[in-house]
Amino acid sequence: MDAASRISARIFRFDPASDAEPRYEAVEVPHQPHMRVLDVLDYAVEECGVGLGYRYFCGVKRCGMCGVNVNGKPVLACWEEATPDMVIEPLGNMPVIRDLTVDRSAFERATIDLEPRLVRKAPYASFPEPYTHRDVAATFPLMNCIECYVCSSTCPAVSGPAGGPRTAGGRRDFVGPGTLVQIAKVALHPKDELDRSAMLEQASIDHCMSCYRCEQVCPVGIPIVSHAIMPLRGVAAKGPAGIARFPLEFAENVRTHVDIHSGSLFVKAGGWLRALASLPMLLGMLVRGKTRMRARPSARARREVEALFEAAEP
Amino acid sequence: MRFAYYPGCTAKGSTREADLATKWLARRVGIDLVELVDAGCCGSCEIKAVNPTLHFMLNARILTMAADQDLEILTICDTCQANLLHTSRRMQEESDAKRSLLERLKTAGVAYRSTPRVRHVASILMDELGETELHPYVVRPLAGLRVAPFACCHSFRGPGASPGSRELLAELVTLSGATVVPVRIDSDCCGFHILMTNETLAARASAKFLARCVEMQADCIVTTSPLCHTALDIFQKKAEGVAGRPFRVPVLHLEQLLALAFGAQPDVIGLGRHMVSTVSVARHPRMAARNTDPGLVSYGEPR
Repeated sequence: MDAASRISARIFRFDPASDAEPRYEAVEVPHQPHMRVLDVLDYAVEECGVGLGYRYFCGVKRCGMCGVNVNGKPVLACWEEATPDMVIEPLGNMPVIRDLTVDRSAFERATIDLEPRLVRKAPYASFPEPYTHRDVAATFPLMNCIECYVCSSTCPAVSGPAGGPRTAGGRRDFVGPGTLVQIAKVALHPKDELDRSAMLEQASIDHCMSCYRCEQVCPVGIPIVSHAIMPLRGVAAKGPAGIARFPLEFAENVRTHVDIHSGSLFVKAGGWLRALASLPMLLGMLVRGKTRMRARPSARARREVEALFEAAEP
Repeated sequence: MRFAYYPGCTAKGSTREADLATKWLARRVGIDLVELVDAGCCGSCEIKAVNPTLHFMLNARILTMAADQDLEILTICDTCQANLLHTSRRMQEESDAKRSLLERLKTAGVAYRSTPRVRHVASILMDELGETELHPYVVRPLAGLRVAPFACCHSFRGPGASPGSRELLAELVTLSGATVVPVRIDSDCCGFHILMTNETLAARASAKFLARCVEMQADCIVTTSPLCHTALDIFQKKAEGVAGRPFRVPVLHLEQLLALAFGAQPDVIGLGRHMVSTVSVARHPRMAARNTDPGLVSYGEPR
């Protein structure tokens, strides 16, 4: 095979039951037009005799089971076009079961624990129920989710390769964008009547870094941060424990100071103890002229911003 | 060239050196900056979570302040840029959401007439002047300096993204004469937006990038966002604490890097204000060997 007509793939191999560490197996595959990564994996097994562990059911971007990393980018193997040189590895943030197959159960468990179903308390007004497409517009883009957890596999706020969100003292690590899309589908639905603020606080939604990485990699193009995580952060901000209230404190800070006054926000968000623990850093900032003791917006600016806050009230 | 200058909150507080360097740089290349005083915060990533309408209204007020002077906006923070750009896109739609915003703005006393163009200074430099016109300003090429560019996530993804911003940053680093070290990978984030709520997780996020900077022998990092700068510079000690090893990687604002290449003295662009010493950059052997026009010092703002 000449270089133009072949695909060279290095495939991650690891069986935790028998291997001390991972290795990479190189395969050469004849190139076909419109060849997908999944075709390369199939060829490796069927024609090269590689006993590779990988997973898929539908092959048409529906089942969400074939996520892999290709050259560092998380994708669906069934949909991603094969390129001449590929390193194919398992998704991140999940333990490897074998080779390219990862254990998604920590994310799936988190999804189930957060009640991914409409919770109705009042009796149905009628049948069919009187609501229109406008009522469900907020949740509509989320319905395309195929639960592949590709987004969660690359989220920098998820706690790492040990295996998705763990629970400690009742509070989970950040549950990841994939789970939050499932919850947003119902939490933002007009017929859902469950107060989800406490469970979202416990799901550490306040740990989302707003980096939009999940949106960038979502195979079906869901605006995950804007349409799922941000609105849920708004719900969690009013939660009973107050641990996700930062956006409200931030808004209050802007209402008071017009510009952000980071010193008072730092103390408000973390408390005096944390401020004391950060004393060396804060003193260093003071010495280098990096702190502003008092913000001084004009009276006019204060009035204008206050008017915006009032006019924006729902 | 005249622009309405929106520095954002951070460049007026904990990263004032970004403001100093921007003003120096603008004067050097002939850009007049009309600062939008009292423009207030763009809402960062917080206000949109609790009240998206308010988020758009805060940004629409800033857009109006520039539009009232018939000026386009120059930003120096990727997050401010993203928020203003997202709002300007919303305000150019024909939608119920836009009409509702206009009504509320009117109630708040904001007469929204037109939507000014909003660009990051990096984009303005390349769009308006370009490499050919900028090149003669490089009187002190930063040859041999290994720079790891760090564009904020908001500059290239999300609803306010400016396509091509990462490439633009790399081009400007190259223009300065420095060498681009491609340290940043797509899943990197500096963690700024959770610094207030989970310092350890934020430190872990920035430590990943900082560790790779050390491994790849970058002399410094350059950012286009004072927020990333805050996480990577002011909080670098915390990242070192999480990683259990020293990094000591200087972090420059893009405006500082360009100003250095354009002949600015380090102190007038606030290189002494950083938490991680920038002495290794300012005294980089190859840079010191180059001539600096002493006349250029007068462009500096008083400290």
